[in-house]
Amino acid sequence: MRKQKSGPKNLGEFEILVLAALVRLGADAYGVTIRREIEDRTGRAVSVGALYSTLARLEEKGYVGSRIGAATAERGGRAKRHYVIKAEGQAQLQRSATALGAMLKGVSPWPEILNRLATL
Amino acid sequence: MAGDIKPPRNALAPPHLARMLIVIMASAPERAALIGDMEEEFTQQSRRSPHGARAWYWRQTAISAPYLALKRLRSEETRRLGIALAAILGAFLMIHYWDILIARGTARGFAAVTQAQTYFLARTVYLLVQMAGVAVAGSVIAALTFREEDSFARNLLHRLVPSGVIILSPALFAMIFPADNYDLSFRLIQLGLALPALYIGARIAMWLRGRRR
Repeated sequence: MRKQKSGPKNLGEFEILVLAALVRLGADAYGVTIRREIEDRTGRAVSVGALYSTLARLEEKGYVGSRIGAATAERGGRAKRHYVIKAEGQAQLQRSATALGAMLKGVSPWPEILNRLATL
Repeated sequence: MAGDIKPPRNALAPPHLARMLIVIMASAPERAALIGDMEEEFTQQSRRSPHGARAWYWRQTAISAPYLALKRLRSEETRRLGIALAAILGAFLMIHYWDILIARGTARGFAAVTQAQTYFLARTVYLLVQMAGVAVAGSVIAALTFREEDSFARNLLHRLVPSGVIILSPALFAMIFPADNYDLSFRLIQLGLALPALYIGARIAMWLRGRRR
């Protein structure tokens, strides 16, 4: 698993949403539940492709880990891939949220992203 | 284990074409989980509305396609394949154009300098340089496409030989349809040397891989 060569950069909006969903879901976090969690809380449609691209990127950065879970008939016999946020991911989520908060302090009206973050 | 649990026979299946597109576009590490997720959601939705579930599957495929394709293009796997294809193309062009441009120029150059019959020498130099290039191509192809879990012989048969056929196709073509000054014996020597050159290149690449470990 590769890590970033340069210093940690702030996360993108969708990366923040995904990491926050992992924190909320805990051990039950896999593709279907993460997608639903984001859709239910933000009202934003999430494509499976976008979700998996983001999860792979976060895994490459070392913010997220994964393990293969159980296979079910409902899934055509394919195993689930469970994701878990790592300590580096939690720290980065904190940093990005703080940076975002600092930048938007006193800015009115607040952009859409803060409304979304507030609902998490 | 994935694949041990089979879906019920009467279960509604996702659209075949859409699923095939996802299989093609998704990268290997996430492919099984991604398809499994889509199948799980499809199964749940199909209990409420089979048509709605199919529409959902197609919509997911369409909006996921750009992300998956982009990720696939940026992947290490694609980069390695691209370099391997470049090596094959480079070696192919070298064999194809060497005859026309460089060999004749080399012969003329030697003749001008030594004022002697240097055709044999020019041919020898030409072949040596060409074989060195083929060996380099062989090592690049081996380094980028050979799988560690496969034996050397299997890698050779499944990966190097098909690439070698492409690389050597100009020489094979010229042997069947001669259109230059080189006779059949020269083409046979060229092919006879190219195969060991590819093999030696692959061996060197594997030796270097072993040393790095």
